[in-house]
Amino acid sequence: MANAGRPVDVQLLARYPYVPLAREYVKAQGYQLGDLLVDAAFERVRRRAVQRVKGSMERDGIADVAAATEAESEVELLSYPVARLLLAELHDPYLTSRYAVAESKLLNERLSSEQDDRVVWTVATALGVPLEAASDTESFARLHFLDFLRHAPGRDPSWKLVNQRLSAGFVSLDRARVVRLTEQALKDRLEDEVAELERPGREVAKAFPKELPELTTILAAHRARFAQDTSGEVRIEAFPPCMKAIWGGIQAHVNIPHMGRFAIVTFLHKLGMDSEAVLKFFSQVPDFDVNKSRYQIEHITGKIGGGTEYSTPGCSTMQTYGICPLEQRDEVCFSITHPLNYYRKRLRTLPPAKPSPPATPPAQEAANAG
Amino acid sequence: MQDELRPQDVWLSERFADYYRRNPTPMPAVVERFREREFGFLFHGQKFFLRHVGMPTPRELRQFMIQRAPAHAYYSTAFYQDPNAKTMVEKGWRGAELIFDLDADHVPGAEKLGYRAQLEKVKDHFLRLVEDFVMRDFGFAEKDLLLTFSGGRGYHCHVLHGRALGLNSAERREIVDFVTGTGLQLNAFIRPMTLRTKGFGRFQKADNTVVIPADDEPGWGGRINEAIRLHLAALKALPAEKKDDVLRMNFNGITKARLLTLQKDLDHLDEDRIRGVRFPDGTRRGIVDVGVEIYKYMERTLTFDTLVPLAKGETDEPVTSDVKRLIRLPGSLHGKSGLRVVTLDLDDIRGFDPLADAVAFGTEPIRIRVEKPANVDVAGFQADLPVGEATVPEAAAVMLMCRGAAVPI
Repeated sequence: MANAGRPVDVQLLARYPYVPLAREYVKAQGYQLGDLLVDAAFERVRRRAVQRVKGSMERDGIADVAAATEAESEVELLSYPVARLLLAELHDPYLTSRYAVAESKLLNERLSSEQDDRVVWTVATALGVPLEAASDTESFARLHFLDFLRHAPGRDPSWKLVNQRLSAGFVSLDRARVVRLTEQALKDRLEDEVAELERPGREVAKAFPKELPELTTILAAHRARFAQDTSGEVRIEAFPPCMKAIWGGIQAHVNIPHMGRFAIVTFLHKLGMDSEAVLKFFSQVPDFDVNKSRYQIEHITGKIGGGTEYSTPGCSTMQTYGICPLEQRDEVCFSITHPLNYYRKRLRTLPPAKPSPPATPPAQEAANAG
Repeated sequence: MQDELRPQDVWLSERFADYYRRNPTPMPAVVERFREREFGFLFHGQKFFLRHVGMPTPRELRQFMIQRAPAHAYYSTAFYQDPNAKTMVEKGWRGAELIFDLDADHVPGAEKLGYRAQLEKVKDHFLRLVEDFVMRDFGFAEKDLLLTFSGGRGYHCHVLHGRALGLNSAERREIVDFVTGTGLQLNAFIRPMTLRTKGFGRFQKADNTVVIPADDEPGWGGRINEAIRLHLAALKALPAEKKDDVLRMNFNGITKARLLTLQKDLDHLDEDRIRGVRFPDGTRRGIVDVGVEIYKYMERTLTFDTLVPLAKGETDEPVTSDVKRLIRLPGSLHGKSGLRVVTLDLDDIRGFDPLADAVAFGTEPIRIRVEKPANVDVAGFQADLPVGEATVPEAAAVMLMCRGAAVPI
């Protein structure tokens, strides 16, 4: 390290402001959050804090800055607690989760380019990835499989426990995987922490008179785009392979296992169909027995039987029950952990819907007129 | 709710009550967090399931067992703030044991066997599950485990390790998937490779080779090695004609000459090299390297579907991923067999004979009427009983009545 020998390396802490040591440093230096919000000397800190939050809603995420001097490092370090104040003020679950993703991606970039393995090790451990020395020469570290399970990103099959080198409870990891796990650990931690932050007093609103309304506007635009993704008619082209397979099976009158029928009904329901619409959707199948299925569908959608609305099973459940057509998964599958997210993602890449969507058969008159 | 009780229901209830009177409180191992458990019961001849029952102390449980003599008794693997509450939210989940449940239903081929043979087969699979997966791979020690015979056709392994209790359902599912090989990516373990090796005559090595994990690799690596050896050995052991058929099936339209080469390749497979050789970089890996035909064969046939069944473990998947499951109470009786749910040490399992060691009743002769022809084999008493009256030892009478094959006279 460039600053080896100094008791605390501020440049290092600035890159990883989430670790407890960074928090202790800020406290020990006597910085008060109140001062950070009002003092003219901290203008740059506040600007960087806004940038952090705003960056989390941008495609490229939070821009990294190279803090060359100690002063720049302090700006970077102090901007993190201020950014948290902004999030606490905005108090929005969607933003919180975007922010958690963006900060953890930034962490990944920084850790990946870190020269010193010990830094990777220290940061990982500080963020709740308790590494242990590797038992072989090939790997960077080993991790107890229960810790591995807590942080492993669920969507990628190469992260499944079954594909790990697991021995006596420990998974062998290379450095890149340690970094990825640390990213996930930070993301989980931030989601929990920020959600629990108490709403700050008026001083935050006062400190960001222009910035807060601007952030609110950006956020609203994001929400609108997200909502648009799943509204409108259901489009089979955007179904994930699992739902396509189940739907294909139903059309071909193949006996679909209970879990499969359950999955597609909850899926359609979550896309906004009520039980009538689901029935109508199924009635596209010739000689589909509406009455036989009505009870089941109404039960699953919560219309009868205590009103419990069931949620669509995620990818890992689908796999466990053997409903995920493993061989037919495509690139979108590997980027999501839930069939509904597949649909949202796929929908964005499709051209606008044609006038007669499958769920509503064309009106008889229209057909006659043509 | 009350169903009409038949004579055998009354008789069994009396015998079960007597058993509970004679024996200490069931479930010694979980007394620690006793108050946080939910209990559930089914009774002889009655359909309703009594659940959401909390027991303040083991004494109350004992009294309950003696007074109500349930046919089946269960407790929650989960801990709850209020086990009496009717809904999950009100119950307040506080963690759950990690459970592996292996029943004859999950063991391929077991359905064709008789009860005794089924029990034996399930036991073998259970030992593999506990020793290879739970202990060797997951690293749990025997002191973290509670192992039981279920009283029916299976065994349960409870992991009580503090760190396992907080696992959520998705994490538990990953653990099941590990055991059953679900989602295994074979191509992450097996790599076709080109190794240029000099040599001639019978030392000639093919350019193409398949590199596999060594036999001593932890986790699925070693299992894949074992599965490949098992598969190739089985193929080699086939009679010549059958072997031809199998190979032809995998190589549509293979020429006679190539078939011969493939046969020869198979004969020359070097088991030691498949198990593992030291590579120049110091790692140990297995090599299947004889001949271009065997390489093609492996490419086509050594798929997930061929290999995983040879190496996978068996366990009831939904049981493990369920964080609020009820499971049989150790020390209680199983109402379909009359056998006891027995807590076992790992060392005792191999020699454990449920039909002798889980017997809860004695040899007192009991007069019964057999209503369906039945085979019974318990506590050293073995008989094929035709319909009609018979006198059998108490343990056999209990078992026959539990199965619904006999009534008391």
